Amino acid sequence: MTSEGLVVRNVKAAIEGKVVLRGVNLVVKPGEIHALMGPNGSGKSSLAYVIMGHPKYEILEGSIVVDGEDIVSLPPEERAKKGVFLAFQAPPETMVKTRNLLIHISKIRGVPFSRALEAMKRVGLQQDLLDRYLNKGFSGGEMKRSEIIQLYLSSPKYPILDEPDSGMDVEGLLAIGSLVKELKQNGSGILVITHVARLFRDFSPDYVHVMIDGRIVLTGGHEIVKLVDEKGYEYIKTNYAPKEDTG
Amino acid sequence: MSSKEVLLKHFYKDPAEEALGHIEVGGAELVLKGRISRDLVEEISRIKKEPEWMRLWRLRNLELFEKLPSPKWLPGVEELDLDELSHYIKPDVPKASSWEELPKEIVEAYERLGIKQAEVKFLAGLNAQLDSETVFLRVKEYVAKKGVIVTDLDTAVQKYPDLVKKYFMRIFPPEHKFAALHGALWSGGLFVYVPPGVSIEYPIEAFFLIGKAGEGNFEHSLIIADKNSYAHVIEGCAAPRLSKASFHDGMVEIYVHEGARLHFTTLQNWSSQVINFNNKRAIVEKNGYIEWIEGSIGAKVSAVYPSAFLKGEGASMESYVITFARDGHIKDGGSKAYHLAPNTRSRIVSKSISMTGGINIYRGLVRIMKGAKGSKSYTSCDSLLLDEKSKTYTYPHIQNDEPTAVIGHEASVGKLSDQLMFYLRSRGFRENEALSLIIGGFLSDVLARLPFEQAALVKAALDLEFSKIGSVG
Repeated sequence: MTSEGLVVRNVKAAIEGKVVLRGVNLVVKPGEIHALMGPNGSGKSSLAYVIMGHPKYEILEGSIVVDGEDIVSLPPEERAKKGVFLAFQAPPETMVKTRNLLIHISKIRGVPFSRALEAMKRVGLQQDLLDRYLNKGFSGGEMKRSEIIQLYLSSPKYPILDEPDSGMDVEGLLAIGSLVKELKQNGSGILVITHVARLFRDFSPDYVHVMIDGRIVLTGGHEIVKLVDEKGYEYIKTNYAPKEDTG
Repeated sequence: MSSKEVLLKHFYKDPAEEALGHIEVGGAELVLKGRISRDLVEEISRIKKEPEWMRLWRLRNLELFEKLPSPKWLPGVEELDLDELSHYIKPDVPKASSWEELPKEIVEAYERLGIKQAEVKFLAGLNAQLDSETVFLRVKEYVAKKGVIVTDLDTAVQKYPDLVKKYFMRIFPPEHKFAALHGALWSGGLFVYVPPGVSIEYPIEAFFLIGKAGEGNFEHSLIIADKNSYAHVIEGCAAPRLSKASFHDGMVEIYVHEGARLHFTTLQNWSSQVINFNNKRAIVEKNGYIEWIEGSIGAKVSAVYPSAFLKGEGASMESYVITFARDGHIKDGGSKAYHLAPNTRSRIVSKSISMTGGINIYRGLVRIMKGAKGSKSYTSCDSLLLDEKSKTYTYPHIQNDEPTAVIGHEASVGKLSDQLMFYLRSRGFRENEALSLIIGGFLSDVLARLPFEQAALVKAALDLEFSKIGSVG
């Protein structure tokens, strides 16, 4: 029996006293693509932050295990070293020049900087972006692309992409699709968060999960994408979500 | 204490304090302390065997000091008891021109600060002052051969009285109480004269070490760059951890003649017991250029405003001010440009970093006189707050009487947010590395504008400052 994988086991978590994850179970094995869908505010991004180790979230219960090791008590940078990477939905403005950050990421990851330039070409980003402060004044598309470049440069074993599709044009979506497929081939276990189905025209997830009110209520294959597309989250909530117990 | 505060406290180490510890440096042959009086001033002049004109100058300044009101704009002076300070401390070592002549403990202090190594390796000249007098002065042969004069100001008073009389406190006259006090009690400091057309490629350094608690330090540097000359002067300041406050009331006067270029770089790293006040001004003639770099890292309170009178047509000033305030320390800084002639240029770039309750105040002035046609001035003030307890204030004053002048001003305040720290840490950077990346990035546009060696100097000082943060950035 192999212990490889990112295993989220019965995780309950709160931010500023408000419970946002109510017992999440998820297993991502190397070479698998998992899609996490759900309406706005259902806890998808919270799960991403909790896996990455955002200090504002309090873990009330459960464990997060990477390749057999519980990472719940590790700081974000240690989790990064274990192979977890989060491409942010809305990355913050920084006072760091993009070039400088990419150089330092390539240094700590032990990969050549040319990999960043290669990734920029693939996602269609101009090199003059390198001389700007990362995320400062970036368009939505530039931000998403720059997150993907950093992801590619870091070659994580367990990348999490939080809504990489929002604000992206068709070319951008195609580029993401090709990178995700390549990561899968290289043995990464990928978690893609989205609330719309259009991303999956370019690549097909092996598993699709639907999160409602801090719980994964439905897991299946590609047919779930279709279900979401046709019936909407309200239908899934009515038919699959457990009835709210009081308190 | 928040976790960020713990982080910042943990990572910050005062490099000069760390290097020197809490032991006073060197002994004293003579200390003059107590009430500031005519007797005290006469005694300083007598010990220095000064000519009559300088003795009278000191006494005139003493009178002014007694008459002038205490300035309201100088923070920290109210806690100073001037009559308690040692106003003149003559170290118990004679002035040396080689390191071998100095006692081991003093050489070691300069070694720990990296001064000896810099002197041996690349400086064109070094004047190292301990307390009130120079203890080391050496000028490379190629510099002297070009006719450049590098000495301490006391020696210049004796050897080059005409030059000193022509410039001394004529660039910065005793126009406020502490300038007058300086004029009465000044001792030591660097004197540089660069003859017409002469360029000195390597920097000349003046290094000031306040070695004692309760010390008043009144060093005076006078730099004259004659027509079409070029020189780069570095001023370094350090002090060990002291048992009580010391006071630095220094002065830097620079005269840039027609077509000359002068770079003046300060790395002020006094310990947290020093109240620092330095009066810095340049007069710039036609097509001359002054560059001020003010790296204000140390001191409990610091008030320094490198200034320039752009007197000749086409004269210009660039001023880069980097201030760092922590632990309730107050850094009142900024730069002042007076445009007195047509087509003069000034550019002021200020970057302040505040942490653990530090307060940074930018107090700048751009004054454009009527007739200074086509003059241009640009100021930018960027502040970085590393925590919620720290503060930053910006008071840019602009007074323009010339309708054809072009004046620009920009200001920004950046905050180190938890989200930003989390973001960088998620990329695999430790907290200290993330912080170093942010600080390096914040300063990058200033560092990038400086010539390589200056950028390296400022960067080295800051790297030392955040030495625990690691080499990222």
